[in-house]
Amino acid sequence: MKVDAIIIGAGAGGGIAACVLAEAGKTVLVLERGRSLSFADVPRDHLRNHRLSQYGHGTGPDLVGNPRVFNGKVRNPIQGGYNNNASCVGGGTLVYGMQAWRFHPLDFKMASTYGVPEGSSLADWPISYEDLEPYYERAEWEIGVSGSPPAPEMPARRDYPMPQVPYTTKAKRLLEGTRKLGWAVQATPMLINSVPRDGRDACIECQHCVGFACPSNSKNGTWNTVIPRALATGRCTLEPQSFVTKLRKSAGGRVTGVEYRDSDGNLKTADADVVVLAGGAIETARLLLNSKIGGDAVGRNLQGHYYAVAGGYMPDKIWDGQGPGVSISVLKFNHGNDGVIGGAMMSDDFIMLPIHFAKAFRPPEVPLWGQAHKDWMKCYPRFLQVGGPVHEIPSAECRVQVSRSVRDKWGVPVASLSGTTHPATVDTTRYMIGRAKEWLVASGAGSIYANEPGLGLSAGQHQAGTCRMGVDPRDSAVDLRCRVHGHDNLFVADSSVHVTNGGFNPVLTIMAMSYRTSDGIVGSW
Amino acid sequence: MPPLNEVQLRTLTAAIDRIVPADDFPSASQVGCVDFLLRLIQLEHLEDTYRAGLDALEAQSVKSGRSFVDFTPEQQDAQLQHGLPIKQRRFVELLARQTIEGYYADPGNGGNRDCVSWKMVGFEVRN
Repeated sequence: MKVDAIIIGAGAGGGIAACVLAEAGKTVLVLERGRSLSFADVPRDHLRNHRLSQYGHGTGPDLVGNPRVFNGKVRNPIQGGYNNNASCVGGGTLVYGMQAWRFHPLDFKMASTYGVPEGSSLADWPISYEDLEPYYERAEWEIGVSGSPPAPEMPARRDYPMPQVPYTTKAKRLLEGTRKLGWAVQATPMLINSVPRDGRDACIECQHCVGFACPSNSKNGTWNTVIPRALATGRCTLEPQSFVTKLRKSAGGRVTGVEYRDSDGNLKTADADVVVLAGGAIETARLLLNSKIGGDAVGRNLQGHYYAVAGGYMPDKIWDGQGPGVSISVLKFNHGNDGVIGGAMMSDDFIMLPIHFAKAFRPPEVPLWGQAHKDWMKCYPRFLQVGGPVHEIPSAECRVQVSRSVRDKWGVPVASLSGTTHPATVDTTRYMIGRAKEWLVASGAGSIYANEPGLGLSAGQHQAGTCRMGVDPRDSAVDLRCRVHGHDNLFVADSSVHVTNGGFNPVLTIMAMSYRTSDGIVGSW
Repeated sequence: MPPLNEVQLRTLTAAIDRIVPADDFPSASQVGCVDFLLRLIQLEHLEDTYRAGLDALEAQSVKSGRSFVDFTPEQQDAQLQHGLPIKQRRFVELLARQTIEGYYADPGNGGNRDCVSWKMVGFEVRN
């Protein structure tokens, strides 16, 4: 089989690349290791979802046959350290929380703003917010974002195509808190239909949003927007349950195509003029390493987000059941915080499952079981929580390698994760927990508590950084067009290319970068 | 073969009703948590862990003169908290964690019959 372009992975980045290339007249083969899933295929199981993966997670990767190694220990997708993200058509966008943040202009200039702490690999992006701005706007309009005008900390921009989702009761209380504190707010931008759009319904405000598939098909992922557009051209073929084992290259080093296992397990090859990697920061790095392509930077600088979270109790019931639940955000502390590097966007949270509350928010003084535990659970409707993704300070030693001994069901060496974030990330997290507590107090909450952050590796659903973009092949993996250094026809269109990962949920940046990279591929064909 | 024998099942039922006791709302066993656990034990291959833990709980109780189920609720709490050798205390943590999963997770898992715990905490699935 020979096509113009092969795209590996049908998630946020790969879906967009498929659409841009197919609509530009190219023949495209999309190889996705996960299945094609609809709402009915993803159970509303409170113990098996992407918010609480106690015994399963409801999508791919399957628990058997897809191990990773974490600090020397073999892990399956629901075990600690695996750093899982959904694998299916749409990838994480099938079940995500769909917060649609642009990174802050200073997120692209972290090293020149703060200096480089010893032992970290903090660096500026080689492109700026202004370079990415038109692609952010394109993602907001083509995939579909609901929200309000930006907070004063962010640059002005074109309005979103849809109004914000309404504030919840919790958000209204938090709004009162921000007024006392003098903090500005912004409605949380979301890749969701707040009104009917694009032939699909508006959000029905259900109680199972993040971690689950959407009952009204109003959660905008790539699987229900750009991938159908790509398929409608007649030039795009999507093969789910197809796992790329290796990139193929000529004697001269040019990438000529891929070798993959199809849905029946048959080993196949496909040839293409261009190959686009979009398997996520862990699997993209693994594929490059297993294919012996790319320099020393491949797999390094693995990062995600620490979460600075605090919880407390209001005197009265504030649970109103209005989904998705996240609706108000503060951007005052993304930058400019005394004594720490970077910061975080803070917001309220999705509607929390009672069992998630039980597991994640039990204060130290509440026992594991018994009447006192049951009495505490009854405080659930008064619980208020705020928090957000802390800008990670990367380390080159936090990395993806391939295991020498552990292989997946196809016999391919698996990803082996090791290292930690830089300690400065922990300092910023601690600082942000303080701001979260401040917000809760001003909003009227009491008995406030938070978990103390510790040094570790974070990647998970926000995994990024393993194919850093840069000019110098000695410390970056892809160039300014997101081509793998030394390989003119091999591109990366996922979060691997992020130099740093912002103090925001990263998906809109993944989408914007994929638009930019895909436009670049078409423009220079 | 059923995962637990009759004595183990009686001990389990009494123990989980201390983990989530009855008050204005039902206890763990009253909303299906035994069935939830029996299914989970098989799915997660926990037969040996549960058998050993429940046997140890019963043996420790018998040493003090009677079956675990015949103690008062306060005595049962004490057995669960302090009665077991260190090695078995982790079993009580596992039992507590999994009973709470059954009680507060969705009814499709077998515990939380009629959404009783959700009514108690005020979580409601509307659409």
